[in-house]
Amino acid sequence: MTEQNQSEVETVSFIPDKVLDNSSQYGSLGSQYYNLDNICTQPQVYPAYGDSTNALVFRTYGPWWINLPSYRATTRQFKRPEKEFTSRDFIEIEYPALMLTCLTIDVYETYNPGSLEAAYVGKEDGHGKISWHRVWKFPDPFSIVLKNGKEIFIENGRQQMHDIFPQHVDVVTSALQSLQLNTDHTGISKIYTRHTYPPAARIPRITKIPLKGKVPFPTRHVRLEFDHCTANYYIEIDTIMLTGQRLKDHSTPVPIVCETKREEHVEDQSSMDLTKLPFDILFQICSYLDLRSLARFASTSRYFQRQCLDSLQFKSLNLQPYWNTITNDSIECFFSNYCEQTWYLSLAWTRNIQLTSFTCLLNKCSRNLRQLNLACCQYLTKQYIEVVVDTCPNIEILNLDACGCLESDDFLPLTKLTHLRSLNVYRTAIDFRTLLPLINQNKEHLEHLNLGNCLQLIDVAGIVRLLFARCSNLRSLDLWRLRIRDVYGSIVGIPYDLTDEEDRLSQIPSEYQDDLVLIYSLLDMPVATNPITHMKRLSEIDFGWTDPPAGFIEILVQQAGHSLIKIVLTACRHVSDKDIIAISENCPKLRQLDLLDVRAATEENIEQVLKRCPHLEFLDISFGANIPDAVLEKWIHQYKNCFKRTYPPIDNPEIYHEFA
Amino acid sequence: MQSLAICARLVARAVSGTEAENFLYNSLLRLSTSSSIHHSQQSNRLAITPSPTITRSVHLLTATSGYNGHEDEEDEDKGHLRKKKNSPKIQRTNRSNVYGDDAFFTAKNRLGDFLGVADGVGGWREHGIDPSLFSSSLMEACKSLVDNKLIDLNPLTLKELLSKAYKQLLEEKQCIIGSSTACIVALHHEKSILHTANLGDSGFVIIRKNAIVHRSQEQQHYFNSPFQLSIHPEMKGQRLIADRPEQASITSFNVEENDCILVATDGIWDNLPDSTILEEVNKLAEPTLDNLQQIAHALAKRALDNGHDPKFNSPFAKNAKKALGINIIGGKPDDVTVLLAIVTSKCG
Repeated sequence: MTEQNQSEVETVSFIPDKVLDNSSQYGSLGSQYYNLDNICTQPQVYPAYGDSTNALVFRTYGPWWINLPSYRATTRQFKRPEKEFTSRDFIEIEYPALMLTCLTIDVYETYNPGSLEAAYVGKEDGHGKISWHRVWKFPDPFSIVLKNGKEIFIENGRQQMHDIFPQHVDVVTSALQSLQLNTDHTGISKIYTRHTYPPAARIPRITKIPLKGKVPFPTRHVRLEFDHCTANYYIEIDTIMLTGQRLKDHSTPVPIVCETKREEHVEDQSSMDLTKLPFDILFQICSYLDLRSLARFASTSRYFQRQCLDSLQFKSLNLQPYWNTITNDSIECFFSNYCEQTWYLSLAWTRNIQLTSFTCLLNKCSRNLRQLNLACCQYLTKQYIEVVVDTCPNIEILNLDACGCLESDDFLPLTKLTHLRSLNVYRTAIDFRTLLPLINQNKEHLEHLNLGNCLQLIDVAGIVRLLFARCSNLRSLDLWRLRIRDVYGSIVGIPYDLTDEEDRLSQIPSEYQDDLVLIYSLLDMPVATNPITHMKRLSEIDFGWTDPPAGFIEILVQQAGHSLIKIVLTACRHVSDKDIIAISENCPKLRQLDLLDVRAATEENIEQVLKRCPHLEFLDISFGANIPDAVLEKWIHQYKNCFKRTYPPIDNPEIYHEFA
Repeated sequence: MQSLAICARLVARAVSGTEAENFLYNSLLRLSTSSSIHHSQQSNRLAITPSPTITRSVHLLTATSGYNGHEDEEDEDKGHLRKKKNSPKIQRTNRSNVYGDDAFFTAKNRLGDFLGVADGVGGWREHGIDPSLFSSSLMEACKSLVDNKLIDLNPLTLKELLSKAYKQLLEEKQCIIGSSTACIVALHHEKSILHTANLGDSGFVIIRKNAIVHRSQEQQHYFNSPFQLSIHPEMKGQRLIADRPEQASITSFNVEENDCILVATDGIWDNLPDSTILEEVNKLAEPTLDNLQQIAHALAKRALDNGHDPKFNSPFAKNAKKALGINIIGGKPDDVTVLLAIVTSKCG
């Protein structure tokens, strides 16, 4: 090495340059608020604590989405326990330059901290492909830095409630009490998680993940995974810094050849003779093993290999917990051999699976495959979709959540599916040319549809109108952030002016006009709409940020509210007093209600809801409703469900109170 | 003046046709008359000629000053609006960019230096809404977009910036209600071009060698009702002004070293005649930050004093006479915000 390269190292902290991939985000695409890009700036919120537009926020938190039928329907069949994998969201970050040796990852948590689940650093090969190496997993030791600068070392994150509050900090008893009462406990107790409830003291802090000696190669990529199902409200992160050392003259260092540490495991000696067990008992035992253990068990002897790796054992195959280790080889040479009976397959979060391996696997599953989860698979192209549709025509549950690499055209092959019951295309580029025919074809059995954050639908009104007109079996519908505009009335059967409809259609960009006209005539698009009383099973609707006009919700719940368990009206600022009263009168089964910034919410009408919806377990009344704290306290004691009220960032030492 | 106008017309026609011609002609007209109320026109005024004299990159040295025009009322109102029991007043972060209901921002990025002011419309106070919320949020949104997302700097950039910042306000969980004017200027480092966008009655002037050479165009619907961006809940039976960012009037022109750019809200324009402004700015000796700051303070102070002087024949009074025929005298007490910048190529 030249003399230059051996000059001293300097310790630096990098702010992220950009976000490479993520599983979800709260904010709208293209907006700065509540979005990923917020971590690419200097800390703007810390050391304040609260709900800030300048922070990264994920789409979900807590047990609220997980415990609903719509989510359960997609996870029910994956019965094999995978206790080591509990991540729910992830983010992959690129830093501006290579760090020679890494010292820490500093996560600036400014709202509801403590959900960090795993940390990886990335190694780039010559072709720009990144392989992820895990460097930390909860509850490995880490430290937190409080805003007074004091650093606290946390040996075991899985602590008792009283331990979570650092000792020198005064714990306000009433805050703990209110935590017990205002409870997410019931919800969380139904979920397997390795985090405690609450996951951490509700104070702003920097979580420092120690990396010293763990990363034997220079890196500029970090991936973090979060399990926020015990978080009290949305988790928010101001920035994620990478601290380490690099050469002072900034020349690219020679990459150090690394030896990945192999995990050593010692097998226990057992005195029991498993070979004597009858097949069905052995089968049962194997079904309790996670996949890794099953594979290890099967490699102990040829006998067990035959018995354990029976294709019936793989009726459901969840490869998401192993997203980082699935390779083309493992798919082609191992899994493909056992997938003749696979009905439920998850490849969520996997990376770089080649078309040949993918095709091989799906060919094996073929007509048996009922459920396919491809969430966050950024290697997908139109060809993969074609393979899915051609080899597995019986698919009922399809998840393409956050597949950002697919373009609108790539979804077109999906129109051939005829057995679809559940479709999740959150935050994708799908448009009406796929959705309209697809919905119409599956109108009798479509039960769950997630179109949240799909901002390229183009004919949103047509899609929504078709859904409500023809899909009588619809159970859950997520329309988060869709621009439904003026067609609300027509959805619930209010007659509308045909000239308005013509206006609307004429505003659709000209390159889509032909397709639109063709599809409309093929489907015989509903012109006169009827009330939605035919939707007898509608249980979950999400109109967050869609801003329906006053009176719409009233009519909706009068027609189809009897089976509703979840209504999300986040930032629906025109929702009126009548709408809320109508909810209380027509939704006896209601469990979750989100009224963030609904200005018409008052003590009176919310009290109505609380009285008449005895199963209510979640109510978000942030911002809009000006409910005094005393009334809220009273309600917490009386109704014992979970009230959520968020607040903008404050710089306040006393923030253990739930409500500021 | 006349011969100059004719000459300008000939030159303009020779260069690029009627668009430029109108611009040059109108700007000359404006120089010769005092500030008057125009109705807005949607036109893209692009009259940029490459300037042979400037070869080094330029930037802005900026000083800010201002006064809250409602010192007494404000604390009460804020207390009423924001107080919740048993907790300290909830402060919005980054409130250092606010004077009363006015807000401003300054930002620098790779391509240029940006200045902006927004005058919150005080009428919202009657409805229990803090008018500074909208203006300060708009300015913060502009700043964060400049810092993070701006890729280009051309004559249309500022209108897009305003549009994006305005749309972004709708994405905030706690809905921001209110309205304000907006005036943004941006200096392109390399090309030494100042791009501007103005909606409403805030504005800017460019002062060169003790004369005003460029001025923003004021936009009003009627007297004392400027164009404004607004977000409002549906309030039946009220006619609420809600203009769109697309209606901002935009101009771009060359600037030279040592040009002074004054961006300010109507607290200045209504209370200081041009002569006073020129008088103060002329006192600038060396273009240092301290000197600029002194002058900015002086301008703000004079505007504040004039505003509270019941005998002063302010530009506001003159305009009221012209527009409504009423004979009034005195200044217009209002929030004052001054951004005074000088174009310089010197570093540091």
